[in-house]
Amino acid sequence: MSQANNDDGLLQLLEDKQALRELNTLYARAADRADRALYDSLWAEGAQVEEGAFKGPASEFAATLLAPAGLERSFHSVSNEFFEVDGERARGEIYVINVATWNKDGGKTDTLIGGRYIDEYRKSGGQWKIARRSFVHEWNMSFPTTAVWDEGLFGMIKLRGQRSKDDPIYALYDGSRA
Amino acid sequence: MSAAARLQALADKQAIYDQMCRYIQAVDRCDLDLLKAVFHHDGSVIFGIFDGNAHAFCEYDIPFIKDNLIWAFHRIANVIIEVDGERATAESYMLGNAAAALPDGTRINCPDNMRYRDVWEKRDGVWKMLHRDLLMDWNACWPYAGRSDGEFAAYRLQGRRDREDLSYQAGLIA
Repeated sequence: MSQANNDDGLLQLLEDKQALRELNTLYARAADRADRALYDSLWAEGAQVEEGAFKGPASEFAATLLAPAGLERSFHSVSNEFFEVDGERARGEIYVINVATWNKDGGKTDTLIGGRYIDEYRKSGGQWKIARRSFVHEWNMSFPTTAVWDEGLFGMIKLRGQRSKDDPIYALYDGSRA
Repeated sequence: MSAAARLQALADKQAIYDQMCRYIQAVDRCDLDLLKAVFHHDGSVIFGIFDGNAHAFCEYDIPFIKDNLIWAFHRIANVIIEVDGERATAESYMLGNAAAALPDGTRINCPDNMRYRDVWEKRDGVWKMLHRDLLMDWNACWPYAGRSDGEFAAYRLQGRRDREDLSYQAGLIA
């Protein structure tokens, strides 16, 4: 917190924390929209990931996160974003609940997985990136899928999320990092 | 960028985030005036349940919620805002929990995961929505599992859809 000892340091700290929150939100967007270009823009050089059975470089984790067999949709909601910033480096803890629908073994299943990302970040070229991410599992639930898409109240909502650039959000954003 | 401009950028994003929370307050308390206050009068929405003028949507949405949802509870997360002068675009994740009654009277819990896709505009120093779309990502229909007996009977403070709700009593909503 040494940089917060004056007005400029305080402003910088607020900007850094906001940028780190946005970095985590963009990670969720990359995951849920299966956006490889966005995904690649989020990692520091040589970044490492540990999540479930995977342990290795972020570049190899892309296939696990963005295109796992049988995944129909995912929704990584993040909250409780907590950061400690020290100059060009930072650490963070992020709560996440991922709600996903899987279509395999002849049926559809919804899984809810709650956990935390324990992260290290690095700032390079003025941009914060993830240098190390470890997912700590806390709880999970599995249910047969009961989603309603074509009837009742939910059936009225015609705009739907897509795991591609066809998602409506890309009408507002070109998908690159600001 | 000057310190003043950097401070303004932070303040703009915070102001939009606060308005996003206002929107949720309005929907969950069924407060029509509060809901209208987060949209410009000439704003628009595409919600599926209603597409068109934003204030007409507000008039439609509050009775719609009361008629169709026994209770509703919305959270926002993953808020990302890009400000360009007096305009901003935003995406936010919404995690809804609600109870509804099927035509035969059976109650269900119907959680949903949706996103809001917005265009915001600052007029006279106040950020309000010029456009909001609702995108659906997931939902579920589970047997209603709420209880009001035993330990749950102890919750004497209960969320309400009127000005008796504690958020009004505490002065958080005018």
